[in-house]
Amino acid sequence: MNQSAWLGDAYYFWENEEDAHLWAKKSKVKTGSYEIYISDIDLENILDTVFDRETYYKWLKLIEKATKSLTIKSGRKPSLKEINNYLKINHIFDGVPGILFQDIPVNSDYVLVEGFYYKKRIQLAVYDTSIIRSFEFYTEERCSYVRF
Amino acid sequence: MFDFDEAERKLDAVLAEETKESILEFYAKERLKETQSLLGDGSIEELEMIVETVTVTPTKRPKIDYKSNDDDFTYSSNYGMVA
Repeated sequence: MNQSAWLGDAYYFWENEEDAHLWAKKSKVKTGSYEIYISDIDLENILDTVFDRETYYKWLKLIEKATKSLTIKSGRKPSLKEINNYLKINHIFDGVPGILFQDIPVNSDYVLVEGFYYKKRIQLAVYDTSIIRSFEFYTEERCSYVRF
Repeated sequence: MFDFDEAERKLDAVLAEETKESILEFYAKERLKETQSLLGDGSIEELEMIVETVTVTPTKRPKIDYKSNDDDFTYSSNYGMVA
């Protein structure tokens, strides 16, 4: 599992095209180019932790309850992969076809105002691929981003 | 709509059964899975051998003075391998 796979084994989609470009430019430096595909996904039954307040707090409660209990009993915090797999093997989120979530990147590449990190970076983790209605080639770009 | 109440009941039941030992065993199994996924078809013993092989402690080679057949020509090198 990739270290940036916040919600375990899933297919990850960026909400915003800009984020797809930024991520690809940093991740595909070795290959020198990347492709972006566009997808139409049925969001009706996903857990929307970004725009749905009630869902966010209920989802958060489950994550924190599991993490705190495992930490107190074992003496150490679970890793990202461990907590995701723990919830998966215990079928806590069975039936959830996907989860929409976000982070706040503290990187000036993402904002127009230095130090003002106002943009959400939103991803969809898809567990059930039947909600993916289409998946089509969108664009191919060269990588010109240089990492230091 | 996802039934969060049912999910929480399920989680509470699972967590109530957990002990320090069961959780640490779970963590250990996760580490093992991760190691296995890195190895592909290989074994943990093979991974340990690979790790030992590639772990090299660099040492400073002693300075060696070479003298050629030409008595006027000598040179020194910190790299001791001579073909």
